[in-house]
Amino acid sequence: MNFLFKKAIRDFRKLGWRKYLILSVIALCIGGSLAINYTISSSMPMMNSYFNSANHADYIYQLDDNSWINSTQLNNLNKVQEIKDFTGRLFWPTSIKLEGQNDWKYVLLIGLNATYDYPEVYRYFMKSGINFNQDSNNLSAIVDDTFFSKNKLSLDSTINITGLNNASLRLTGTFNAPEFIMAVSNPEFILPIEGSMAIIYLSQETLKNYIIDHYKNLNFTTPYNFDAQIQYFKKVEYNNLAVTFREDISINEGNIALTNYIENNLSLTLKEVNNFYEIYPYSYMKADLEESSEFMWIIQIFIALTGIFIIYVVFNRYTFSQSQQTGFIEAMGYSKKDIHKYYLLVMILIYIISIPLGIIIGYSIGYLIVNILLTEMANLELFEFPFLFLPQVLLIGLITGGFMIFFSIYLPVRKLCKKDIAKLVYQKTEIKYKRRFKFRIPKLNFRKISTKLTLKNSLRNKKRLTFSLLSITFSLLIISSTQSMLDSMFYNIDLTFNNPNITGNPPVENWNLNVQFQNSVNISEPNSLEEQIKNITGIEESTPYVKGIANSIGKVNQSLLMIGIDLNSSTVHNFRWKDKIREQMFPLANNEIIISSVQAIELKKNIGNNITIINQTKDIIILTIVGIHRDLTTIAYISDQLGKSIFHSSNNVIDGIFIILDPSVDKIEIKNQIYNLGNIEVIFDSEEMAKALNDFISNFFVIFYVLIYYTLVVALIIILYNSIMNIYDKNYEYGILRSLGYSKKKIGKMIITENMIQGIIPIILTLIFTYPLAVEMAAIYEANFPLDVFIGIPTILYTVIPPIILYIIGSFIAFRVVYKKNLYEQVQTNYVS
Amino acid sequence: MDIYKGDRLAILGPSGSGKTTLLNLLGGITNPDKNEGILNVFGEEIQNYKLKMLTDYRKTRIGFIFQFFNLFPTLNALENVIIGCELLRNKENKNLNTNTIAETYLNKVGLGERLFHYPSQLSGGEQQRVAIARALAKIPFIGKDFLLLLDEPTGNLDTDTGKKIITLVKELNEREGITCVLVTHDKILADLFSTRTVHLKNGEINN
Repeated sequence: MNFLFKKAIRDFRKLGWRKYLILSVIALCIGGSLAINYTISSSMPMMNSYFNSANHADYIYQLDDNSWINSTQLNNLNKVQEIKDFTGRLFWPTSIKLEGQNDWKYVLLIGLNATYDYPEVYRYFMKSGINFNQDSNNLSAIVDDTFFSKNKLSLDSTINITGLNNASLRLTGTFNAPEFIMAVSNPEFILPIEGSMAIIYLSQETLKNYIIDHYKNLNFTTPYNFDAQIQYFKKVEYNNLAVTFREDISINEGNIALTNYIENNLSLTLKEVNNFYEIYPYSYMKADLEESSEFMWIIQIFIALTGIFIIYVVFNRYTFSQSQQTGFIEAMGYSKKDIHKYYLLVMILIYIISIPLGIIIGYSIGYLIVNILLTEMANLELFEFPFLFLPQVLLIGLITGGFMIFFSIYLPVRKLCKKDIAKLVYQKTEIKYKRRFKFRIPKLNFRKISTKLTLKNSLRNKKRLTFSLLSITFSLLIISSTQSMLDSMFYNIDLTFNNPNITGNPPVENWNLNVQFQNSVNISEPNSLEEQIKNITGIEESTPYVKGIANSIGKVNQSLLMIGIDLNSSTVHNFRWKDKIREQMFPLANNEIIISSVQAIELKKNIGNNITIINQTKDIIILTIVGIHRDLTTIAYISDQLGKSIFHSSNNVIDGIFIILDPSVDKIEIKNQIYNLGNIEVIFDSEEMAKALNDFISNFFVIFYVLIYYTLVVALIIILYNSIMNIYDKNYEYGILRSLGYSKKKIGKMIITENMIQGIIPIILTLIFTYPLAVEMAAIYEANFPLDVFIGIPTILYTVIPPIILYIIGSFIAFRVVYKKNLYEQVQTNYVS
Repeated sequence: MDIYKGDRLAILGPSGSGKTTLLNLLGGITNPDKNEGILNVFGEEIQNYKLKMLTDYRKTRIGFIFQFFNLFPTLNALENVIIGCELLRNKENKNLNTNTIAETYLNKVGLGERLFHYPSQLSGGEQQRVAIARALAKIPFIGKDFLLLLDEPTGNLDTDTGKKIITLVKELNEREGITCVLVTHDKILADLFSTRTVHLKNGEINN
């Protein structure tokens, strides 16, 4: 037995470079599988710990525009016994145009009580500089770190809030706020656009004074009278509450109690009430992680299968190479049980080296992946999330790795041990000729037998060939399907915003500018803001709209962002339909609604179903779903008349306007003109949005790139191994060819042809199966991001070019192996060990 | 040492005497390790030949028969012979049909009924005959100015079969006039086969 133990170690060491290949393939396949498992298991716990560290609110209450509260009323919330902690905030959305930049950005100003270091609920974390309340200057403010870095701002600089009468603020620090991760410029869109929306914390007192000054200025510069608003703003302090409830009661109970208190005791109107689990950052992050987990399960299975197949192939070759020696050992008197023990020793040797390595790789890469995912979502630096040791991942690694190695060695060994000892000792080659299953190349007349030999060699050893090709195919499929998801995302953004390279499809968002008003505009007044905008030279088409949030009630309650608009004679928007009741959708009747596919999934509704909504004045409206769109927005569309009746008490009020410009005009000039008219909250530029969305995809889905390149490395090793060993196995046959007088050029051509025939099969299989697999993967994201699947050039290039290059390199290495050996030795061995 | 055209030369010697090395040098499958001596084969001095020239030399001047037959397991007998001679096809001899030539030589070695059998379906002796046919099938392309080198061709065969193989080669030599060099340690076989014998000991001729 000692002899077998020594032999096992020595034989393994004698493998030379191949042992490193075996160990690295196993370690990488197991590591890759574990990395994904770790990511799936740890992402939600890490995300939850992040929100918990900020003492996130259980509920957020946004008060109506005419229902702000003062400090006394705020403090009296202590009387509500269900409440544990609360923080009053003054939210003011507006816009800013930074110096040196052409576009306007959305900014949310949040006023806090400066006497507190940090808010009790929804604390933020300073990234640089000092908190605004630590500075003696009451015009100090802090800005979110992403906006700060993306717009290249500097500490102690002053910014002017253009949309708030150029209110001046001095930036003393930057922060990261869990409440505002995934900050978007336009919450209507599914994807966030980093750096185009700012969150600024400042003293509530300062903000209030600036708001009052803003309205005073509007009094002078516009024909409207804002005295009532000015008087009102002087008396109130806050319009937003973040609340946590006691742990011994349910948050729903707490919410009911507080809502009653606000509406009945304080006689205030709530504009919006959001449960923590429903708010955009948490729900988006959670949904994204869940979808990513589903996506990664598929990848994990593929990597595991790749590992199993390739390890089987490697050990199949290894056991064959040892088969004659196995025969000698048995001939000496060792039993079949001893042979099993010998291979078990080899297996243990490989296990104790490769599995711990694989586990380390799994934890490391998994930790990296989950950090990339979460830090991109939360706008943090890499590795700010702590490492979570998940013992189940270790267990899976130990068990799965053992299973993979055992299965891959055991089957070939079992086959070996069934063979007659004489056949093992005297075997010539692996070729078994069975008359019944004879493989012929029928009806193919080869000009040269050498061509026939090449073809036959390339399709030799069916089982090993199948497993090798399957492992390569699986690894290429991981690469191609992941890349196709990226291609599809970019394509869908192109479809939405009409990249000039996309032809034949009118863009979904055909508008150039989307102007949102600070306060709703009455269009019946002479020279209204809408009239003034329409009269600006260069505006080809404009379509006004009303916008607001209503709650859908039913089996699932949901806040719906809705636009009331008449698209009958407008070209500002072209829907991508999932389903619709009729060809000519507009004008919509006053009891009809078009919802997004994302909303349809959330609400569990289909075409023809009814949807019940309640607006702020508690009116109940029942609407029939006549269309489900697959745009990148989560907006529901209703008729403009219905919208006005739901969100406003007048038929003459609008909230914004979509604009199509004459292509020849200077867009920046137009935007400036519009801003100068006043009462503009923000102007969204479709071109800027498209660019920002593309940047987001590239940054956010860097995880996909990690998967692609990791798998490329695995594929590289597998393909190289296969292409070298393919030739190495037939080394002596190439020796015969050399002895017959075949030149280097001819032999080289035969080697590369043989490898290419084998190489083309996984490439073709991958190209065939990429699209169906991508469709399945896109379906995972359907609930959040409806994707039209598109197989782009990068997908095809990644699938075709790297394998071909690797097969050529492998052939070259194999060629050198053929010519390295002394020709006499080469022809004397009638098989390769 | 001289080898004459049409000779049947046997090189005898104990293990390690250098007989295989000598054969390998003659066959161009190994290079001399010292710059001494001359290997003149059909007027060509091959001792300084580089890889490409040795390849051409093996193609056009040498037929090698190995101890382990060295057939391609995925090709049948006919194809194993054709693969050796199709290498020699060019514009001048394009009229020669490799299939017919291969069949002819397989018939000559007595395997006319086994053309489409694979090596695993042939006995050791039959495999060695295929190897001999493969070597000789070059003759129509290059003429009889070539060396048939046999390295212990009966090493893997039983005595009777071995004798039959040697007898076959002898008959082919007498019929075709090809020059044969046999390496063996079996004196009986050497005597059966050869017109001349050379004894090697410690790398030197020791007659």
